[in-house]
Amino acid sequence: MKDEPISPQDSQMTRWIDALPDAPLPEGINIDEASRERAAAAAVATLLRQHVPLRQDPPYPDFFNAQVLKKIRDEEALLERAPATRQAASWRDVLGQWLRTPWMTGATAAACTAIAIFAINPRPLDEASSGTRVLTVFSPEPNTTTRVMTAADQSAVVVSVDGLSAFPSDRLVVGLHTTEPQSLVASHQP
Amino acid sequence: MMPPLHRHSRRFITALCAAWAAWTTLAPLQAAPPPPQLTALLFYATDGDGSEAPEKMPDTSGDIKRYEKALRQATTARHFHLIGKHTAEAQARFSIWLKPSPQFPLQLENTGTMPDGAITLYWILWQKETLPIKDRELVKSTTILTAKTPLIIAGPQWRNGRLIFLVRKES
Repeated sequence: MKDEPISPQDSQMTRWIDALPDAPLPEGINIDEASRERAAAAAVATLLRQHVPLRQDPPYPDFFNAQVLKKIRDEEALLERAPATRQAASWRDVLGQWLRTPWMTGATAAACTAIAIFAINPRPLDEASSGTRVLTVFSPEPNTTTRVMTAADQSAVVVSVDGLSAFPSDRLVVGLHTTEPQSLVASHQP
Repeated sequence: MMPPLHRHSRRFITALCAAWAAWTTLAPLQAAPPPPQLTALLFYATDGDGSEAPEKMPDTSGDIKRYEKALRQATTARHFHLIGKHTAEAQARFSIWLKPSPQFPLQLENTGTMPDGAITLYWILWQKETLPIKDRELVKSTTILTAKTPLIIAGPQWRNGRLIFLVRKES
């Protein structure tokens, strides 16, 4: 529902009925009719003054006062907590400003890349965690047996080929001491 | 006035993508690790003074003392004499020959590197005879070799002792 604007004539009429100073009767209004309206309004006002008390006390004053005191205590408690709240807010502000700094973009990108590289290329395991292992061993020579042993102090793995025919005593085992690079040979081409 | 955060987010994602692209491009260009070096030693184990093995060489690196305990696991002989020593690079997927003595060449093939740095070796110990057609394979094996633990091969008897080979990966 839209409020209709009050015309200046109506406003002046209302002021005249209320007997306000500097409120002359608007022009064109019948004085008798207006006086009747004024008397009716005065009668309603008198009636209201007679039946409606000018001062109204709360229904339960003790409860009202207790509620007021409780509100005061709550506000005091809020004021005591306020410094910590303000500090937290400022910490968040500082972090936000820090995150918005231009160099932060590149630095974060570099850090993320470094983390990704380390995550993808895990550090090689320590060789010490596992020693030499002989997976298969075989001697094509007849009447031979092979044994695989680990030295008592775990310092070496030993493959013993037993039953080999002795190397002829009349032949010399020539010793060499070489560190020259080898000519590479394709796989499985002795 | 500070720029809005979403503009930085866009920059951040762009920088991250650029860094990732650079890394994936440059990573394969990194220098590959050098191939491992393998050394083969030939010892003559005997109870005597070793005079019957005239081809002894001076043990300048202290190999006998270093491996004496382990060598005793392979033989009951009291003395060890170093006869030959050969070091070479074992490039992946190629066979190499280590010849601490030309009469007993070791053929080794580096078939791959384990995640812990150990290498898998397929190896054959040969015995050369006077006629090439009579060359013999004494023993063949597949072994995972680490730098910490060498491999000892107790081979044939010779004169008053036994020939013992040691293969190690240089760290």
